[in-house]
Order: sequence, then C-alpha cells, then structure tokens
Amino acid sequence: MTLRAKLTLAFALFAALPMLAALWPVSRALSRSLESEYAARLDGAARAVEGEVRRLGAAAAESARELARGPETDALARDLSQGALDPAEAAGRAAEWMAARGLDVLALADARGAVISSGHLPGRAGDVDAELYALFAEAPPGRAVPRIVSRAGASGVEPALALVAWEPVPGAEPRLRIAAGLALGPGFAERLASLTGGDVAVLGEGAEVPLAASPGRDRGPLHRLLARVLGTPRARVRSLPVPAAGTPLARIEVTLPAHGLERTQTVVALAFLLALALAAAAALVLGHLVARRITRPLEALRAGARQVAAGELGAQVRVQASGEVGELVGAFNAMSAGLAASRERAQAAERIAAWREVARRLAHEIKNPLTPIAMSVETLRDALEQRRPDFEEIFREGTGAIQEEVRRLKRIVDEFSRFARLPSPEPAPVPAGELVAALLALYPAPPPGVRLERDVAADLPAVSVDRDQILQVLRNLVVNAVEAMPSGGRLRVAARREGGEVIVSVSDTGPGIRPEDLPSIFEPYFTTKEGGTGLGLAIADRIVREHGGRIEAASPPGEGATFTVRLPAAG
Amino acid sequence: MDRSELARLSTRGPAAPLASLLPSAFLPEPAPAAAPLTGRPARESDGRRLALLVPSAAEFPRAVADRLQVKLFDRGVRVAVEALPPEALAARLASGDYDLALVSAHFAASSPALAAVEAAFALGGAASARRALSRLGSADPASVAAEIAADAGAVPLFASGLRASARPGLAGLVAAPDGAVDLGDLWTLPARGGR
Repeated sequence: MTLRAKLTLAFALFAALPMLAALWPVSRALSRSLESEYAARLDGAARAVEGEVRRLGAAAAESARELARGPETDALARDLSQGALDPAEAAGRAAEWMAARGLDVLALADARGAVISSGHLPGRAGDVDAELYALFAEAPPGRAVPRIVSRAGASGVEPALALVAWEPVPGAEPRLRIAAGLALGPGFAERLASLTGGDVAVLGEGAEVPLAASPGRDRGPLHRLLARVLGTPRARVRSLPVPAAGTPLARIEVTLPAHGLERTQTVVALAFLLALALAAAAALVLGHLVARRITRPLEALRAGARQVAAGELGAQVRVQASGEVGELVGAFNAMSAGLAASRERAQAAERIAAWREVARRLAHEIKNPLTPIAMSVETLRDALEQRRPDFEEIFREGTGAIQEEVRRLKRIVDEFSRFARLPSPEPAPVPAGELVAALLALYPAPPPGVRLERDVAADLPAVSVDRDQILQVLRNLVVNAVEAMPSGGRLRVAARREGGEVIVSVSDTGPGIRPEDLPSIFEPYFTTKEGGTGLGLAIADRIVREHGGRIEAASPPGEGATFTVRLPAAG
Repeated sequence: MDRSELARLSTRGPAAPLASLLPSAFLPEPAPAAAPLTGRPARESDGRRLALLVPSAAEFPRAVADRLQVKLFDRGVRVAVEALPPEALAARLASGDYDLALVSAHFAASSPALAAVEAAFALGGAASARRALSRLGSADPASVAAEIAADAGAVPLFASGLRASARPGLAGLVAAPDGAVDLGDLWTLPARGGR
C-alpha cells in the first residue's frame, strides 16, 4: 500500500472513530429517554386497567346489593318459602334479571350453593354449584372478588374471569344468596384497548390462550405461529395479576406497540450512520488531497532515485516542497548533481588513462619492430657504402626483415582498429546446436597430437545472437586452447542447456592459467602469450556481454583451462 | 341422567320421565323405571364439539337443552346449543346434519297405535309414519315404538301435560286442583326499583 493510500485511510479513520465513539452513548441515552417515556405510558395504561377493574368490582357489588334488597327477589323468596313457585318457573328468573341489569353473572342459590336460578349457566339450576359454594365460603359478602366462572356461551360452557360479589337476601327463609358479577371479557378488553391505545388480554394463570382479548391482541393461531417463527415486533407488556394480592387467578396483559419507539431508534441510528458515512467520505476526499500534497515531493524523490539508480546520475527533482521534505529534495538534487560531476570527472580521467595506456601499448608494440627495421636499414646502408660484394644477399635479408616487421606492425594496427571499431551485434535466432556444429566444422581434422572430444546435448534451444560474432568468440577460444597445447593434448567442446541458458564450454589440457592471472585475462592488452596483443579475450568478453551473456574462465591446477560461454536462450 | 329431575326443572306443569316413546298412559302395563343412560360420552378430544339443536319458538326445550349442556359439560363434553326456527330445524333433521336434537312429539291420539304413529311422524316424518303403520299390523304398539326409537337413535326423556305459560313478570299464576287458572288472581310486578 502506498504512503498516499495509508495517509488517506488514516484521515478517514480519524474522522470516523470519533463519530463511532459518539454514536453509542448518544444512541443509548436516547433509547433510555424513549424507554422511560414508553414505560410511563405503560404505567398509565396499567393504572387505567386497575381503575376499570375497581369500577367493575364496585358495580358488581352494587348490583348484588340492589338485587338482594329488590322487590322481585323478595317476591321470589316469598313464593319459594310458600312452595308456590315450581322449580322450572324459578329457574328462568335470573336470566331475566341479568339481562335487565347488564350483568354477566347472576345466580340465586341457597346457603349450600344449590342453584335456584342462574342467568349465566341456566342449566345449573337444581344442582349445587361448586363455584358458588366456594365463593360463599371464601369471599365476604358485599365485596367483589375475581373468580373463574363457567358460563353458557355460543360455543358451549366456557370459563370466564369475572368480578363477582354476593349478598344474602334479607329475611328469606330458606336463606337465599344472590351472586352478581361482571366479566372481564372481550368487551372489557376492547374498552380498555381503546382507552390505552394498546392491546389488552385476559389470561388464566399459566394459560397461553387468552380468556378474552381485544381484537388486535389475539390474531389467531396462524399469527401466533408466524410470530413464533419470525419473531414479533418488540413490544412491552405489563402483566397485572388478578387478584392484585394473594394467589393469582389470572392476569391481565397490557401491551403497547413499540413501533414508534423502534422507528425513532432506527431513525436516530440511521442518521448517525449517514453522518458517519458522510464524514468518512469527506475525510477520504480531504485526506486524499492532503496526502497527495504531502507525498508529491516524496514520489518525485522516489522517481529521481530510480533515475539515478538507472544511471541517470544528474537527475533533478523539480517539485515545490517546504520544511524537512524541501531540504531533502534540495539535498537529493545536490547529491545527484555531485554524482554526475564526479562521473564526468571519472570518465575524463578514465579516458586519459586509457589513451595513455593505448599510447604506451602502441609505443611498446611499435617499438619492438622498429629496432630490427632500423638495424636492417643501417646494415643495408653500410653494405652499400662499403660496396660489399654480397650486397644483394644482404639486401634481400634486410628488406625481408623489414617486410616482416612491417607486416607485424600492420597486424598490430589491425587488431587495435578492430577492437576500437567492433560493430554492434545484429542478433537473430540461431539454433545452439547449429552454432556448435559450425564451430566444429572448422576443425574436421584437429592439429597433430590434439584429440577433439564433442559433448553436445541434443535438445539445445535457439539463442538470439549475431552468428558471426559468437562464432568468432568460440573460434578464438578453440585457437587459444590449441595454442596452449603445442605438444598435443585433449580439446573438449561441450554444449548443454541449464535453465534459461545455453552453455558452451571449451577445455584444454594445457598448462592452464595461473591463479593470479585469472582476474585479468579478460582485460584489454593483458596477455601471457609471446607476441599476443591481449585483445582476443577482451574482444570475446565484450561480444558475449553485448549479447546478454557472460564468459568465465576456470583453471584448476594441473587440469588445464576451461572457458565457459553462457548465452540466454531465445524467446 | 336423572330424567325425573330433568322434567321437574325444565317444565312448568305435570311431567313424567319416559322409559319408552309412548307415555305410560298408553302402555298396557306400567312401564319399568327409566334405566340410566350409559355409554362412553363423546369428548372434544374426539375432534369436534357437539351441537344440540333446539326449536327457538318454544321455551321449555331451551331449558332442557341448557340442562343437558351443563350435565354433559360436567362429564367433559362441550355442547353448543343452537336454537333454530321450526322450518330450519326440520330441514336439518331431515338432512341428518346434526349431532343432537331435542324433538317434541305431540300426542293427540286416544289409542297406543295412533300414538306410536305420531311418535314416528315426529321423529322421521311421513315415511317413518308409514313404516310404523305397516308394522302395527303384526306387532304391538309398544314394540313398534321401541323399534322407532332404535331406528331414529332417539332417547325418550320425559312427557309433560298441557299447560299455560305466562309472560315474565306475571305473578299469581297458580293452577287449581283441576288444572284451571283463575285470571283474577294474576297481577304484574311493579316497575324496577319500586315495591
């Protein structure tokens, strides 16, 4: 990752982290605030339910009291005591009274709980009603208590939660009691639901299916199944036990939908996330601009350093920068300028030294032939002045020597000229096997005493070379090897593939190369041969390098010398 | 189920439990006491709740239905009482689309044979009455009545005599030993809250 990318990312993170850090506490504080407001609403709904329960209880108790003291009850008691009312006639009275007073539970029973007339369960007349018996035994008269009452409904006898109060009928003989009650049924649940704005359900203790529920509360078994599988929207439920104290008989659940609360929380979270995204995006853009401004000089320096590494020593960085980076740019430019100047000086010195060396070599090489030439000329002149009779013979010898030395001078000049004017190679794909075969074709019959060995691999790839130049190199190596074995020996030419290279080696069993001479044998003008110019191996080294290869020499003591040419395979 | 108690609590006036479809007055010898109804009661766990059809016009069948509902509830059977107009009730009975139904047979006959035909008509209509008539040639009316009850899956409950019904709030309705009512004894209840 580049420095610019890192800086850009760092800027974005620095902008996003504070936003993220703020999101959690702010969201939490808002949630708490909304939760407390929601809890207050739920408390209000619970108080409304409790108030409604109290009101119904009081109404049930008042109805029981009125009926116990009412004329119809008095007349019924009198008829019963006189035996003037048959049971079937009496059984229907409670239903009439219950309907007239809007009650949900009404029964007239004797002290044992034997029902004389029941409005909520007419068929119970004539039996002892266990529910009434328990009511008379457990609850004081005149006070409504919650009871689970069996009522005859459209679907048969069903349990219902009701607030029931009982009162003794004064003066009746046998003693009669009236129980009256109001059910906490669907009407109750619906009324409270509209009052609280939520859902209300009345459930028996431990029951899952409500005894009564507001329409929105119980959405049927399919809804319950879906809610169980998919999860219900988060809603708060306040459960009120009935009765409020003592053993719970049932519970009233008030549920306020939490959609508004959830929506507010979601909106806040989304707003924060949007702000976070915008801040991060802005930080990315800003960070990118700033990072570009900061890294531009550094990138220019990097490009300059690459130029210097590529050999362009005088490369200058042209960029505006201040501070430490500006100083760094200045130092770099000064350094590269210094390097360029140093290189120019070094090159000039090298050129001078080279010319001196060439002059020294040329003087040395030319000086040797000049002496015999001068001596021959002087001998000829003396012979002419002395009019020696063997002048002709002396003349032939002298001019022959001069001619020989002149040829030697010409050869020296030609060698120097070739080294100076070596043409650029013109590479073309040449099968390496063919190259080696062409080399060996030059020596169909090796010199006397020399045994030629060939070790050429069959699967040699092509090499991209200037065929003539490489052949010149190889021929030079073979000539050197033969010359190194004047009294005969073994000349070995081998070629093989190694990785992406073709390796051609020429070995001889001559005296070898002294270890101290090995580092210098490819330097120009270095020679150990009598009459050598020291340019042959230097030219070979230069040609091979210009082909992207290299030439190496090895000479283990007593094993002759081996020259290895490594050329990259074509393609 | 105590059919005597059912008759006493459900009807106003004279009533007697039935051991046969024919009232005991039509039987040559006193009928044996009605045997208790036995059998495994159907329960909700059997897959459905039962519906008891009653005629909506009459009052006392509803009281009987309420009583049956409570008694079956005590035994774990949930029964919904469905009051229907006479025409709708007859159609449901004819189609057989019912679980339980309360059916009243009015006996205006003076002989056991005709009473058996009336009972057959009430339970199964004209076709049943014709079958009963054809059987009466070779069997006594009590046997024919028993076969009619078995064919229809009917359970005789009780028989009640003719009576007068007063609307709610009418008091002082007391039958004299001869069954007559003195209208001068009747009085109505005062308005609610007064005496």
